[in-house]
Amino acid sequence: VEFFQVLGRRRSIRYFQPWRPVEREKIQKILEAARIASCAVNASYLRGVVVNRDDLPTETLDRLKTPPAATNYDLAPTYIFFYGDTRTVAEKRGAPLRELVDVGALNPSHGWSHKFVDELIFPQILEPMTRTPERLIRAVAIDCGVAMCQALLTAYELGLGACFSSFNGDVVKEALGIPDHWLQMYALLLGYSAESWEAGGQRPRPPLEDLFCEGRYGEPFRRDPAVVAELEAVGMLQTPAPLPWRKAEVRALARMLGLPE
Amino acid sequence: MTTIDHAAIDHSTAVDVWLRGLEAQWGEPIPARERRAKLEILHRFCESVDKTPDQVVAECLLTKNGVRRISSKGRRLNAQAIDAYQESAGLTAANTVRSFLIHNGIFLQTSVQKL
Repeated sequence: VEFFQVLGRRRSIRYFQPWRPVEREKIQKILEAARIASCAVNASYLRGVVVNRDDLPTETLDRLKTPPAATNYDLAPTYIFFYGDTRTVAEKRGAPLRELVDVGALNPSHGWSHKFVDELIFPQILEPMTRTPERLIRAVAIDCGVAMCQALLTAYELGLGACFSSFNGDVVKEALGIPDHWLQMYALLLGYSAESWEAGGQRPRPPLEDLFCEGRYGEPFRRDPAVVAELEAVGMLQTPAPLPWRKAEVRALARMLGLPE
Repeated sequence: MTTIDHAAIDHSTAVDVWLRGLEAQWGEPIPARERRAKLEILHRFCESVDKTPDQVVAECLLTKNGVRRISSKGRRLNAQAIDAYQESAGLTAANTVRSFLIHNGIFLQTSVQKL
């Protein structure tokens, strides 16, 4: 699937085929995509634990679900519990940045050197950040979000459906042996969609001009209709929800899966 | 167990909210036969728990500092009552009662694992 189509076809899938497992190689590809994501100071904060639903004891499964996501957890055959490692920057003491210097990603042309990393960046910026929870959590959350998004989009590239979900952190921590320094993010629920890929149409979003400015705050970024038409042609912008048959689809899914209407 | 007044049930606020919610959800009127079947299921559930529909909904709610919230305890008790009802009445009937609560704003999900 082309990249723009992957973006356009992504929907949060909430009806999975509960009987159909996800192939392990697809899980690996999803994790590989997360691993190579952009990350500030080359920190690689993202961590994750892959769990197949049917390998969890029923009691653990029942306890880890948050109420709004309970049915999603029942239907999705595979979960990736994502976390951010809050210790990695302090432990590595600038080594990942020095690696970027060594491989020619950060260069003297832009002012970078080992000495700059060792004497300024780590001791004066990164190390203090690790002792300031607000700054550390912001850095971890932003970069984990970027990497998780790559995992999410890869799932769609591989023909899977996916949905981010909250989870009961205490239960998962205990069940999976998660260490204290891993900061809870979201679970990525994975499986083959029981919904049509359209899943009722592209979800409603605010107008572009309400979200983004140009030049200064308060000056909307004006949408060019020609660009919109181009993105529609390549499948990134699609027919917005609800498609006319969505209610019938939802009713049929509910009946097939034994869910309330 | 007290006798539940079926006519009162059919005209209760909670039942009205439910049926209007269903019609809005699916965008069509509920056929008369289906409507009767749903109400009969609700009658039987109400008899099993010895409460009116309005009482069932009220039990799932509480007001704290002037704000209406879902009562975790009330919701859990009724979810368990529906699970018990499912044992005798079957999944479709239990889901009908869940639908009644859901359309009254009580968040409920059923476990697919138990199917």
